Formats: sequence, C-alpha cells, structure tokens
Amino acid sequence: MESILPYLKTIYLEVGDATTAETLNVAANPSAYKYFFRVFPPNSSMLGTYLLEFFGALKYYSQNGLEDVPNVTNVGILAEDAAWTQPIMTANGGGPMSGELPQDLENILGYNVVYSSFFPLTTTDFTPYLQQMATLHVQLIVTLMATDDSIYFVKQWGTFPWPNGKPLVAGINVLAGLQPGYWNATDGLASSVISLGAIPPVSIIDQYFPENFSGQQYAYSFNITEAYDDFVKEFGAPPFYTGLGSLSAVFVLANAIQRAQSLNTDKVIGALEKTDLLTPEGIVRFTSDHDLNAANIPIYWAQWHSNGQIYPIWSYLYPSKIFFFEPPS
Amino acid sequence: MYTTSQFLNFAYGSIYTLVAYLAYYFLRISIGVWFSYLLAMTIGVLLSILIYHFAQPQRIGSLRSAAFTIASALLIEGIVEEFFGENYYSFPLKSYLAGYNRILYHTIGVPVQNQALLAASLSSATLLGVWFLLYRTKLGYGFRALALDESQAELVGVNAKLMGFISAAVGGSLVSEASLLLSPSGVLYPDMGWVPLIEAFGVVIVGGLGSLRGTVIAALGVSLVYEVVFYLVSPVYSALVPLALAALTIALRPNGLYGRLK
Repeated sequence: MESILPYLKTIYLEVGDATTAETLNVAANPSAYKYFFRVFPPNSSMLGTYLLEFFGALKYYSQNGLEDVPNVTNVGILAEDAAWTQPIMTANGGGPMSGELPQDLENILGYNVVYSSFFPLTTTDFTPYLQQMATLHVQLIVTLMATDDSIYFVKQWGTFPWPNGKPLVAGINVLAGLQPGYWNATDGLASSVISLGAIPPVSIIDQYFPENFSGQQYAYSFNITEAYDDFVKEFGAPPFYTGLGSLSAVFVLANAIQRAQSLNTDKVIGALEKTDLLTPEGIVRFTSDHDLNAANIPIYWAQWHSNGQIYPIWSYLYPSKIFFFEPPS
Repeated sequence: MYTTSQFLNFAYGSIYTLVAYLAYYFLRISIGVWFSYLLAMTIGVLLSILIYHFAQPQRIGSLRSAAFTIASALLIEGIVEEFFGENYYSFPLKSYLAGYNRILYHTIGVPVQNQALLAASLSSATLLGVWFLLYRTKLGYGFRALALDESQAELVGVNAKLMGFISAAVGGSLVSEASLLLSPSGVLYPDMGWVPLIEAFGVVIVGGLGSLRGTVIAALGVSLVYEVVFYLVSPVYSALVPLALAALTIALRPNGLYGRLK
C-alpha cells in the first residue's frame, strides 16, 4: 500500500505495522511520501527497547526472589522471519541501547543467550526448535511472533516433555492479545504466556497502574473504560491492539481536520504533523518522519493465567511492581 | 488423477480446509466423533466430484479447467471465512492424542507428537490401500490403462469418463483424510490449505506426475533434504525446499523421478 501512496495522494494512517520502511521513505522523499503517518504501534526499534526494559525488570525480580519470578540464566530467542523483527534482532537503532537483541540481553542484562533463531512464517511444527532449546537448557523463550505460528508454538511448547522444567515464554506475541480467541485456539495451553501488546481490561489497568506520565497526573478527556466496555458490548470480545490503534486514528484524523478547518489534503497533513492529542492509546505526537512519538504511549505487558483470563503484569510507567505473575507449570 | 484425466485440481487445498472446519463444527454440535469425521469426509468427496464435473479438461480445455479449480478454491475459502469468521479454532483432541509421545521420548529421546504418529500410521495404511487399488484390482487396471493410452483403453471397454469421476472421488477422499489427520494438531484458519497444497505440489513434481512410487520416494527425499537444510544451513531456507526441488526437477528432469508424461 505504502508504495502507491505517491500516486494516490491520500492520507494513510497506519495501524498495526511496526516496520520502519515507510517512515524511512518519508524521511528520504517527504514530498512523495508525506501522506503516511504511523499511529500505532510504536516502531520495531522501540519494541526492542520495550523488550529490554521488561526483561531487565524480570531479572531484578528474579534476583531478589520477588513474586515467584523464576531465576533465569539461559535464554532462547525465537523470531519469525519477517520485516518487523529484523530491526529488533539485528539492530536496536534509535533507542537508548544499540545493538542486536541477543547481544543486548547478554551484555546489558547479563542473560546467557544460548539459542537464537528465525523461523519461516509457514512453520507449523516447532518440535525441532523446542528440542534444540531443551538440549541447551533454555529457561526463558523470548518470542517475536505476529501470526498464527504463535498458536502452533504455544500448543507444542505447552505439551513438550521438557526434561528440565517448562521454560517461561515472554515477548511479542501479537495473537496472544486475542481474547478469548487465543485461549480457545491454544486449548488453554497459553497459561503463563507473557506478551507485549495485549489489551487487558482497562478497569484492571486503572486499578493497578496509576496514569502517570513523567510523574505528572493527567486525566483522560474521555472515558477509556467506557470505550472499552462499549467495544466488548458491540463485538462480544475485548479489542485487539489494532482496535485500540484504529479508534485512536479516528480521533487523530478528526482532530487534524478540525484544526485545519479544511478537508484539503495538504492542510490536513500540516495539521497532522502538529498533532498533540490524548487518545485511547495515549498521547499521540508524530516525529519529523511521521512516525509515532512513543514517549507518551503507555505500554503494558500482560500474562495469560490458568483461569483463562489475561492480566496486566508490568508497565514501565510503574516499574517497581510486578502484578499477578504466574510461573509456568 | 492427472494421468487418468489430465486434471489438476488446485481446489484440493480449500477442500482440505473445508473438511477440517466441517469436522470441527460437527464435533462441536456433538454428533459423535466417527460420524463427524465420516460426514465431513463425505462432503469433501462430493465436492471434489462436483468440481471435476464442471472442470473436466476434455470438455473445457486444460487452461479453463485449472482456472476453474483456482476460482473454486477461492470461493470455498470465502464461504468458510463468511460462516466461521477469521477467528482461530482448535480441534478438541482426545487426551491420549494431545501432545508428545512420552514413551518414545524417554526411550529414544526423540519428541514426536501423538497425532503425528497416528497420521503416519494411518497414511501408511492408506498408501498400501491405494497401491492395492491400483495394482491388484480391476479398477486399478483401468486407471493404469488410461494412464498409458486413453484411446486404447477405451477400445477395450474402459469408461474414461466414469474413471475420471472415480479418480476425483479417490482424490477427494485422500485430501479429506489428510485434513482430518493433520488439522487436529494445529489450528484452523481460512487459508490454511494453501501451504499443504503447495508442498504437495512440489513433492508430486519431484516424484513425477502419475507415479505413486515416485511420490512416496519424493516425499521421503524432500523431507530429508528439508531437515538437512534446517540443521546445516538455516531454518528459514528450509521452507523453500519443496518448491526449490520442484524447480530443479522441472529444469533437469521434467518427468520427475518416475513420472511419465503422455
């Protein structure tokens, strides 16, 4: 889609894709690609940063014997061979830590990365990968998965005869945000799987994670809990991360049109570039290459529990606490 | 099927998908495991026959026939998506079939899924059955006669049109069986049939169109090369093996290992 934007000359608000290719186009040729804006999620480089933050927190909790977090030394990384994983696995450029994810986990956080592999998107049998990780005594599997391969993976991880105990699975597992679809699709084997990007019930987030950006309290300009509940009422299931992003994109566009006082494409683009708006996903601002400025986008890590519910367990907004952690069994 | 009636059915992948979804649905409405599977298979067979009826190459030409099967594939996929949505579904497996076989793992250290063991056993038995059908029955003689020379076969009383429908039925039943053996260990989604179709296509090209022996040997060979590439080169490149070998076969030995083009 992005490659035909210069011909369509239509504003395109991206929701769902984390690859940086499009924003690189904007930077390289702004007059042709100015129509593109990424609304959600943050780009792959930021996702790499989030991974390191969370695994750093896990290290802290495990070393201090907190909240049943297992002590993990050996780590295995399993990433799907896709455009969005390359900036995470091969370079975490742009974030505070630079380098490849495997190297950063070792050099910065002190883990021992004993296994690291890409797998084809058409993979349905993860047995060879699991067998290799079992042989290497992997205790934590870091996943970078965005398609149905994660369902196959979790079903096989959940029943694999681990000789040294079942390793924890944590990482970016996009489909793990599907509620309750992911639980049903994995036959309940997703218990203890941790993922970035799931949208747990807002009422739980509000209860345990005070809305606090940079130490400043702020109030939502609309009721996020109500929007979440309305969504569940309408569609029978909580929103996927793209639902959250799409809703935010609608608010962003409406706000830009209002400020531009026009439907003229160039005027709306000018207004979009100056966006500073509180939306369901957080405060949306754009960078000079029309990427999402993720500084004020709250990101939650969530875990599936054995009762078939997903709970938020950690956020960088409230780094000193981990909630509801359930070790693998 | 190809050597009998020169018919390439690209809708087999969608039939594979539809049979899996139907079996899942029948299991959910609790009409019994065996009846659910049998009913799903029957529908798969009937659909295969129906597609062949409209897409007979002798009637509409090979190109239109292939196009019709591709269109049928997309139509079936669309219908599945319309009725079941884009959600992911998982078969309710019996507990003794779920997961990995612990006895094998603890004795020889190799993890194999129980469903995979069942699939390997039943598909081996099916292969023997197909071999018996082709080489030990009158029906099989008819198929092989048509494969050698259609006009000569018709002269000695082989009904080519009827044999075409029978081979469509056999093909449909094999695809349905494959679906019911492989789907339970995975997940159901509307376009799940394309990957097995493409891999099967690659294997059949390597083995040679129309050769059962070639297909079996090619399947084993392709699997072996797949594993070698996985462990010695890269897991990412292993996914390319079936089609890469197919391309190589077409370039170097167009008939495949044991195929015989008319």
